[in-house]
Amino acid sequence: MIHTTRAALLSAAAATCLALPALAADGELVIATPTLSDQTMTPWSGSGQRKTYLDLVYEYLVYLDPEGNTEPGLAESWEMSNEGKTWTFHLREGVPFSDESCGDVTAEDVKYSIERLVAEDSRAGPASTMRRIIDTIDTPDDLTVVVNLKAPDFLLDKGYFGEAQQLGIVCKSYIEGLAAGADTAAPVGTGPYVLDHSTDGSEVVLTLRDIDHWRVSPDWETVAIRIVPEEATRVAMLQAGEADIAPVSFDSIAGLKDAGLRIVSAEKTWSPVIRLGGTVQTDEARFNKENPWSDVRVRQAMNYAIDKQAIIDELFAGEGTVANGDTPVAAWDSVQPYPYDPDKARELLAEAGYPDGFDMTLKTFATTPGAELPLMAEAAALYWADVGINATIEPGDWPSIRTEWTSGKALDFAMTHRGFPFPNPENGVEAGFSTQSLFASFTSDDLEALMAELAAETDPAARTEKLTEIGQYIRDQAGAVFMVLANEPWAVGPDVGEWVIDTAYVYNFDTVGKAE
Amino acid sequence: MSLLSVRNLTVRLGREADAPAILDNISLDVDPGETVGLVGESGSGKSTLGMSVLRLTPPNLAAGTTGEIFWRGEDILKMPAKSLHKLRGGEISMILQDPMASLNPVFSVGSQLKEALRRAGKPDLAKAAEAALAEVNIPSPAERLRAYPHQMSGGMRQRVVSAIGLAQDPALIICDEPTTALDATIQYQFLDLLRELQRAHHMAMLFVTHDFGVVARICDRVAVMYAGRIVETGPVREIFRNPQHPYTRALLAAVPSTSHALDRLPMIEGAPPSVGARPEGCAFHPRCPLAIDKCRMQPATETLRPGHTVACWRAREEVA
Amino acid sequence: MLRQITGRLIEAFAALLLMSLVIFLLSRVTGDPVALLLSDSATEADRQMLIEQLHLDQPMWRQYLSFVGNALQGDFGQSVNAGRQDALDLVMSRLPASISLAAVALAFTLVVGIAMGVVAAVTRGSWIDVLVRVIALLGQSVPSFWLGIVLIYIVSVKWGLLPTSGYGTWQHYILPALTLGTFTLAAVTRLVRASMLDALGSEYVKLARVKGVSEATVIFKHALSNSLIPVVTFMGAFFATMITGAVVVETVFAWPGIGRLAYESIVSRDFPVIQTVVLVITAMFILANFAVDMLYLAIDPRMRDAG
Repeated sequence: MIHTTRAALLSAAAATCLALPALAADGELVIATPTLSDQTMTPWSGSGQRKTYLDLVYEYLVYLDPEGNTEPGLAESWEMSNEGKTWTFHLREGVPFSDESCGDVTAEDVKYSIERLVAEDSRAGPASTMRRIIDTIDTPDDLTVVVNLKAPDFLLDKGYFGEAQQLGIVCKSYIEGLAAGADTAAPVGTGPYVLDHSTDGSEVVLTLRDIDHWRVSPDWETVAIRIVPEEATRVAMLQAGEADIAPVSFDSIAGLKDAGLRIVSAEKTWSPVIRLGGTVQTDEARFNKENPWSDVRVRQAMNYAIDKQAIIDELFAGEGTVANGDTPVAAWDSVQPYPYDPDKARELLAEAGYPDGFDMTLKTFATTPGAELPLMAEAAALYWADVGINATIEPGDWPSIRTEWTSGKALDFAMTHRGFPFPNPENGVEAGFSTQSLFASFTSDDLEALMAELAAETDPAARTEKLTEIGQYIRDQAGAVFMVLANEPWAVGPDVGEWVIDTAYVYNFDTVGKAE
Repeated sequence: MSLLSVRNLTVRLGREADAPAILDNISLDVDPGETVGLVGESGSGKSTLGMSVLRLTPPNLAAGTTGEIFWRGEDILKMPAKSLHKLRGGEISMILQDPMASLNPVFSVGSQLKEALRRAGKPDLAKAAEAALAEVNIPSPAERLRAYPHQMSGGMRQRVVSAIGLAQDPALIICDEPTTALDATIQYQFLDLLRELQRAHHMAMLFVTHDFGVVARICDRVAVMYAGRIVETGPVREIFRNPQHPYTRALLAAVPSTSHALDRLPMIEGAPPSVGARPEGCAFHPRCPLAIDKCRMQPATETLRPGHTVACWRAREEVA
Repeated sequence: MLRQITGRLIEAFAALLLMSLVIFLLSRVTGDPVALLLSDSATEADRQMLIEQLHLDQPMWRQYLSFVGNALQGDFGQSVNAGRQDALDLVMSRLPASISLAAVALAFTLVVGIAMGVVAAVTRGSWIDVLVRVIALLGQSVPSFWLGIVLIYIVSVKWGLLPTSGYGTWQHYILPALTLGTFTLAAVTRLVRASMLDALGSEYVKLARVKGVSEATVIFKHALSNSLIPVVTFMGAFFATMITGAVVVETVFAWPGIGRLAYESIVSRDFPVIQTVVLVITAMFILANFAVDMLYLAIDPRMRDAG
């Protein structure tokens, strides 16, 4: 018995030497991604992380250019009326679904897609908020969709209905025709690719449709999205030519460049920040006056005390800018970040009654992306120590910290966090700074008033101004310790030509070029 | 010519000349058909002598082996591997001490027996195996062939071991305390069986034991070993009648004359020295009731009568 | 025999039931999935709705009872993750990858470990023995993560011989199995070496030599067959360790096994999946032990009579 096994192993070893490496095939674009969360196939059946593959299959009413301006999508044109409460979309004619029986996109498909996305059993991230604002949907004709809102949303096109969110348009007749329910659905959309196969926990492979697509003309016959949790393995895949595109950490950038690989950065797609617990001043249960940082001067001091540029250079390989807010918002470009000024910090602390500083707890955790957060916490603590603030770092995990936070127990500690850009920045402000949001980390009566004013304003220019005002207020109040507006670096192999990532969750994998 | 002739065999614990010797300058002959007893307490080196004959001592002892062991005139110690391989189990066989441990627990009795029979070139293995078991008085041998060792009693197993030992019709069989682990009554049965078999197969036998009672029952000649040396040899009758070495006498005294039981413990005060700590001169002198100063020097081996030799300073004076 | 099997089944069922309770309670000690599932702009009402949807509003004992009740009917619930996939489907879809990798790794460990153990025992005290033991010890001391990455860089990136990672062809098995098997290699080698030394010093090996059988027969038939008995004893444990302990290897090699699924479900507090994974792993343990007992019967005749 032993002899046979040994012989088998030897022959296996011999055969190995003859085996060819599994390089990516010529027309195949391989994207190595750390996770896909779950591999479900309808827009409403899971989180936005699936957009890496769903965006190749489903299309959106509105697209965004790299500057964040809207571009026509399945909607050729649209207009807002009724002070932001009515949106009318005029659909593009003759856009066929990948399943022939579905025909072209109609207003009914769009209506159905919206209704499914906001339904109570929807598991899409924005479902609950969208459900709160959407009232009725009318389809006066085959190519017109009228969306009536309960409350004004002036940025519905960029926001919930745009390509950075989850409103992919599905084929109504296909989904309704599924006897076993929508969960068994194959992805049938109008995008340039169709699903070839999906292996749970391993990969999603898509193939190009044999049509002249109205929006894009992809260079790759096949796109394979492989789940590769380990960064070092992704880097190895890039070096071995097994992967063409992969997100990498800041640490790996220098090495990859040395190995002749290109880095494409999505700019300001996330924003490491230190949130201060117990500063929701409008809610007694979430406001803790005992914290030194309940005093605005202390919060400001905590901002002044840190040399954020140094942290960006050391930890983020220079891939980022000093943050002026907790998320990147275009309207806040004029808001100046806190400069590094330890003397000013000491002065403010003394004024606030803490000339010798104070002791505090800083909780931190690592996520993907976001492996840098614990190191960032250490760095911040070092700078704070310099002005007398003695922070004890408590490493934890995101689920526990998030549980504490959302259940109002984040009262006497600070925590690192990573913020995301919201396609509609007003949604981001609401999430972070309004009393009704479970995730609010700071607010005040003044801020609530400002936001109410913003909600009531109908003139677009005036709205932008108000948003800027809010950003300035949050900055001056030091609603958090703003750290970095960070880029998201992706390494790109030699076979890949032109490729631009617009922003978070807009990967544009259907417009990845081939190298000459 | 002797069948087996051991000449000046010394076995040390390692290659170095000053390494402690387990066997010290042993010379011994076994003639065809003869039964020679090798008697001594444990640690005297008698088992090592048995294993040396088959060159089955552990590597460090093999390295420290000097002298000659002639088998039909050919030195076993210089034999090429191939001849040696033929010799083992073939011309010289062995029955081991512990029947409970000397059969492999995971193979059937038949398979272990057939291994030996196959070497002997028996044409019909199944039949030969059956016959071999029958010869050692194992009832319903055909069935027993399929049994595993743990399904048999100690006495039964020792018979199987004997059958294995005899399978290749050896000219010499070395029995290393084959009865020690057996009950008294079974011991007798087994010894009788051995004697029968010996006669039937015309074998010579080198019988290692610590029990003079056993020697009396089965041996023609006896060599008494103490601390790696042969202190006295002679025909069994002669040794019983006229033991010369005090150690021999002590061993004899330990055999109860009235009882049939072959009790094992020699009633000699003290314990035999360990290999590394053997005293100068006659190694027995610290325990010897007759020891004198001279005993600190090694006595020469002298021949008292033809076939009866002894190594003791006080041998002649004490002839009774 | 039938009574034994019935007894075994009852034992297995009791073990699974106990395990289900333990894991049910343990997984709930460290928080709940609600916070993770809520979107960033969620309100208190959203939270309440989600809690109801996941039936986390019911008392713990009722949650447990309905879990057990449903599980008995083969319904292990749905993942609470956004995908809401059937927990059992999810686990079962990952199981083949885990089992096949563990099997290959176990085969590697056994073949190499036994060979190394035998060589070490036969050459006891020589430089070969020392070398084998050092290699085995190194295998145990080297972290899987490091070994995996180094293998990927040398074999895949530098030499281009094997794929870096992934799952699919037989080539994909080699590096992860090597990495996974190396850790237990030391244990197998030591075990085999020790029991080989015992066997080689035993009376039955002496008898085999006395019989004059060849040295190869002595070593491989008489000594090795006995030395394998302790290895078999540990084999169930090895196999189970390889399935459960493969988290690191599965992560490094992007292997879609249940180790990673377990880890991910714990991180995301995905109770139904955690429970299902643990119960499936428990069942695997039980099965592995049963297989070991069967192997025992085959290899050791003494066990057959012991009953």
